[in-house]
Parts: sequence; C-alpha cells; structure tokens
Amino acid sequence: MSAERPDPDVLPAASGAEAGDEVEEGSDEAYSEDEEAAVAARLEDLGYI
Amino acid sequence: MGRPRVCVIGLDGTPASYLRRRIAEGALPHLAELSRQGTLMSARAPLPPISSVSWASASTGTNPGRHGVFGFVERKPGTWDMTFTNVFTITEPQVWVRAARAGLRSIVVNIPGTYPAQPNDGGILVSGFVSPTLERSVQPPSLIPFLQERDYLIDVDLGLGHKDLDAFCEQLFAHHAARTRVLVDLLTDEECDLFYVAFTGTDRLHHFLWEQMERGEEPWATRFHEYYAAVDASVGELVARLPDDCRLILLSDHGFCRLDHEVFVNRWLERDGWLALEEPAKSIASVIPARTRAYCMDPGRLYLNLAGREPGGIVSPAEYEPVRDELRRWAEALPFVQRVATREEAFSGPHADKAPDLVLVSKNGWDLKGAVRTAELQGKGRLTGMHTQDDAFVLVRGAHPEGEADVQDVAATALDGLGLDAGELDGRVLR
Repeated sequence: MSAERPDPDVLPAASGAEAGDEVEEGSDEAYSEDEEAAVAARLEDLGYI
Repeated sequence: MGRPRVCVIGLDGTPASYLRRRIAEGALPHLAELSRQGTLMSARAPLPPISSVSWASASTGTNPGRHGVFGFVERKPGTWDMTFTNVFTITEPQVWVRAARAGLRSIVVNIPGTYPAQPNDGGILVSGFVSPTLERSVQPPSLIPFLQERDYLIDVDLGLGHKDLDAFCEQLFAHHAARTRVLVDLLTDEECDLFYVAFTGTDRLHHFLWEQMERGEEPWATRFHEYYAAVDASVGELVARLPDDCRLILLSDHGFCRLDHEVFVNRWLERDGWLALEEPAKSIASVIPARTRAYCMDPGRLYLNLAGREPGGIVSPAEYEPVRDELRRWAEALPFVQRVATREEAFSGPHADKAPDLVLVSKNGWDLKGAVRTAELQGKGRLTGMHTQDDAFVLVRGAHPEGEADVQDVAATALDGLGLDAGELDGRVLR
C-alpha cells in the first residue's frame, strides 16, 4: 500500500466538490430522518446493524 | 466521445472460485469467453470486506485510510450515536470525477456508496445501495422517467429474503432484467468515455441462498445457477455493444462463502469484561462508557474507548498501546478469528486516524456482527452466505497480469485506459 497520498488541497473530493470547499463527512444531511429509517431497515436486513 | 473507451462491470460479491468452477462445468459462456481473453485473477478486498468500503476502493483506487470509508455505519463524532456513510464520506475522487475533470463523460450506475447522487458534469449517475429514494439517486433528475419506464429498482426488497424466498427470487430476477434493460439502453443510446456499472443482485442472492446452492438444495440451487446464467447473458449483451478496443474490466468487490454462525462480537467483549451495555441494548448508543474499554462496530471493527476520542472514554492515550495489545491477544484467542490487523497494518493515509484500532478477520463460516440487540454470543438467522476478503476477482480483457489483484487496481486500470495518470493511486494498473 502506498504511503504517498495526494494533496487534499489539490484534488477534488469524490462528491464533486472543489478543493477548499467544506465537505460533509458522514453527513447526517445526506439522509433525511425518514430516509435514515429506511437505510437502517435495509442494513438490518443484510445483518449490518 | 462516442463509444466507451473503458467499461467496468461489477458483479457484487462474486467469488473467483465460483466463476472458475461454473466455467469448468461448461456454464456461463460469455464469462468463459472473457476468461479466455484475459486472466480471471483472484482479488483481495480492503478491510473490512463490505461493499461500502470495497466499492470506494474500486472507484477511487485508494485504501480506506485515504478514501475515508470504513463501514456502512460510523459513530457520530462526539456522541455514541450512529451515522450512515454516504457519498460525502468519500474524500478521494472517483474515476468518473477524475474523468470529468479531464473533459470525459461517464455513465455510472448502481455503485454502492454513491448516494445522494451528485451531478456528474454532463454525465449520468444512478446511485446504488444504500439509496432510499429514486428521486435523490439520479443525476440528471430528468433521467428518472427513463428508469421508471423500465421498472428500474435500486434494490430488491431484502425483507422478502427473510420471509418468502420464492417471492424474493421472483423479484430478484425481475430486478435484474430491469437493470439490464436500463444498462443496455444507456450503452446503446448514450455517448460516453467511461461506463462504470454494477450488478448487485448477486450479493443478495448469495446472502440468502449460498448454503442452499452449496448443498444442492432444490429448488434453490437451480435458481442460484439460473440467476448467474441471467447475469452472464447480461454481461454478454453489454460486451456485444462495446468497441473491440474498449478496455473492459470485470470485478467483484469481495468474495463469499457459506455462513455457519453469526457472531455478535460485542457480546463476546461483554462476556470478557471489555464492554458494558444498558439493556435492552439497541446500538452502540447503549454502551456504558464508564465500564467499557472496547467496543465493536460492524463487521469486525474494534475500537478502544479512548479518552479524548470517545465521549466518556476511559482508556488514556498513555494506555493506548498496552491496552490495544491486550485486546489483540484477547481477539486472537477467539475461536472464530483467523487474524487481527492493527490500523497501521491495514490502512494508510489522512483518514487512518479514524480507522478502527483493530480489525478482526474471521474464519470462513463465522460472520462478525456489530449488532447488540441479541444477548447471545452467536446465532443463525435467514442469511446463509457471508463476505470474504479473499476470493474476489478481477478480469481485464486482453490482460494477463501475474499474481493476485486488489480491488483498488480497478480504478487505476480504468484511469489508465482513459489515458489519465494513475501513478498516485494505491492500486496498480493491470496490463
């Protein structure tokens, strides 16, 4: 595994954000409250939670 | 731009060993032909070997210490609440983001961990698991009627797998047919440079029918193989529409094996004095921090209850190494553990400090769980297949690389096929 890594100030995030933008990590806002319940149910169906 | 220069087709969770066996038996003619045109390589998934982590590696070409995804769920910083990982968790650019920056157009369909769908710079993106609504899964949104006309579903009703296998199978086949219709029509009618898609019904099939297939239990074993015949036909339909010089990459994001036991790691921690839970426990929010030195997040991610990191953490930073060593020795002695990796062994990069302190790799048959709702140490429900880190596969048409592949090699190989530099990625270009 490479120890080298890109400069986060240079490369854009996968979300399409430009360098320097605030990127939400694990954001709650990605899922609404209703969506979170649906996500939890699907993950539970596959035994992940 | 015109016909794709690179096409990536994922078969979620398909083991290299299963493909080799079925091809040797004369099944899967399209995959068999492709395996004559390129080496069907065994591949290794990142840790932990689950789709959110592995697809982030396959699409960014980096290890989780760089892309930042370590599971489907994380502890929300500063709390004991859980949060769900999503596209914003991934902090490395995916192949299609890099392609867009180079002025190339991509079609991306059903890649796990891409919800909510982000604009794809003139291309198309349809999010995969876990996507609760179609409305926020499609970019551009004007594509939604096209998907609805083809009865596109993001996923099957997984609840059916727990209560009605017949209905589950019926939906699985219909869902696969709809997905194929969409992919074939997109590939036929849309111009793009990169076509990056996944079939995820294979993973669902394995979760609910792997053991039945292995035992030859009918009608499920036949259904299982019939499903793969449908997948093989779909691969054939897509490949037939590609130019001969298109770099074609097939992969699975992890392997699969029979599930014999579900292991509730937090209950083992509790039994041996590492963890205390408020009952009835529902999630890690039920952890009693003052009496907890370590806890587990799905599937085998062990974290110390570290002062300054976890709320109410009781392991001081000075105790970190000795306590982690003690936890590692404890874990290595568990009957279901094949090996234990430290975060330094498994991850490198800017997010390595968010990685689990230790990752358990289980023996085949023992499926590690972070759930705490059951008080049992282990059990077995309706799931009969489980993920493995090894026995994934990568196949690059026309390429015969030596050794084992890593799923992160897929992004590097795709970028290279687009004429873009892959040198800074963790993955290697498979030629």
